[in-house]
Amino acid sequence: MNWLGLDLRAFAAAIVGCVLGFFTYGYLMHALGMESPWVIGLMVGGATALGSSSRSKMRGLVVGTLALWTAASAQALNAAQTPAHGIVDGLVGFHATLDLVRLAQLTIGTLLAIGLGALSLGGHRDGSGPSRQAEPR
Amino acid sequence: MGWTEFWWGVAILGVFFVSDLVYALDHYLVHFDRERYARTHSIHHRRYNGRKNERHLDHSELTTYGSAALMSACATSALTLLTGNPGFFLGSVLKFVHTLLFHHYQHRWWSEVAVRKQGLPKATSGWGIASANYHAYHHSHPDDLPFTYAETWKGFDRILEWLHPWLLKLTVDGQAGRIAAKVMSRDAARGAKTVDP
Repeated sequence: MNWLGLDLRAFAAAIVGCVLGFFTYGYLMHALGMESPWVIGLMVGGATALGSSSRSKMRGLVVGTLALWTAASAQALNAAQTPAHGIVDGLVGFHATLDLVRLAQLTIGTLLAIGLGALSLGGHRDGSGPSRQAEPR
Repeated sequence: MGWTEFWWGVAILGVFFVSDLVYALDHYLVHFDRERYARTHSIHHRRYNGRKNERHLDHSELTTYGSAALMSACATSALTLLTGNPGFFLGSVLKFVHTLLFHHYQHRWWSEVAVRKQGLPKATSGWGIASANYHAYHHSHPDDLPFTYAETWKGFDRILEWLHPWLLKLTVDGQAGRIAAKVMSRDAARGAKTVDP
């Protein structure tokens, strides 16, 4: 598998980052009253970087998108007023909940995910140094 | 149709326009980047310039179109989420489907006879939709006027012809000095003669 530089290991790492970020956001929200969607971007991007064996700017784009949707889902689920007004309704109406502060935090989180997601901190299977992986055409 | 559907339509058309622009520009740039052309796009030209011996849309083409669609989907899904307008994401999905279907139409001349031996007429310069003959001319005469880099709207090629004297300096081949110093003026581009099919 190779979707814009995202191999199976990096993809799995990104998903793990999404799950961890999702629950971290929920913990910070409920236990400390902090709304920090940028934490999700940091965790998704960081996990992907750790799981990637080569750098890829295009992978950063995919990871940034995953982080943005995870952050929106986390906010939507945590803001749900009733079980009937669940995550899907929350995502459909997500744009209506955006103010400048939220938008800025989401932007920071997405940029963090894009930047970190493009890096390679996971070392290489063959022990060689970092190298650019050819983009699929 | 209400205003909601109107803005959905605007978003869909906007995605089509921007995607076609990006395609035309990237196609122009790859033709003026010798190494990148040899590594990637030349495969497409060699395949379709010869005799048809395989199905349309091989693994390489599907990967290229699929990668572009994935990049578009990432950006448009974010726009849809932040604006509440599903037209953006819908536009990228429709554009991908359009690209696959239009590819079949634009390469329908691919047959037992190689394209250069088919005697197809020269592409007509204009501002309409890029026809199959227009794209066939790109395969038989990729470096000639009129420009034939656009996927759907020929207008992008007219604009690229106008910008070419300046854009050329920004291309990889232009910066490496591989292109002769001859500047294609706008008058020369407009003076290119064509033969109606």
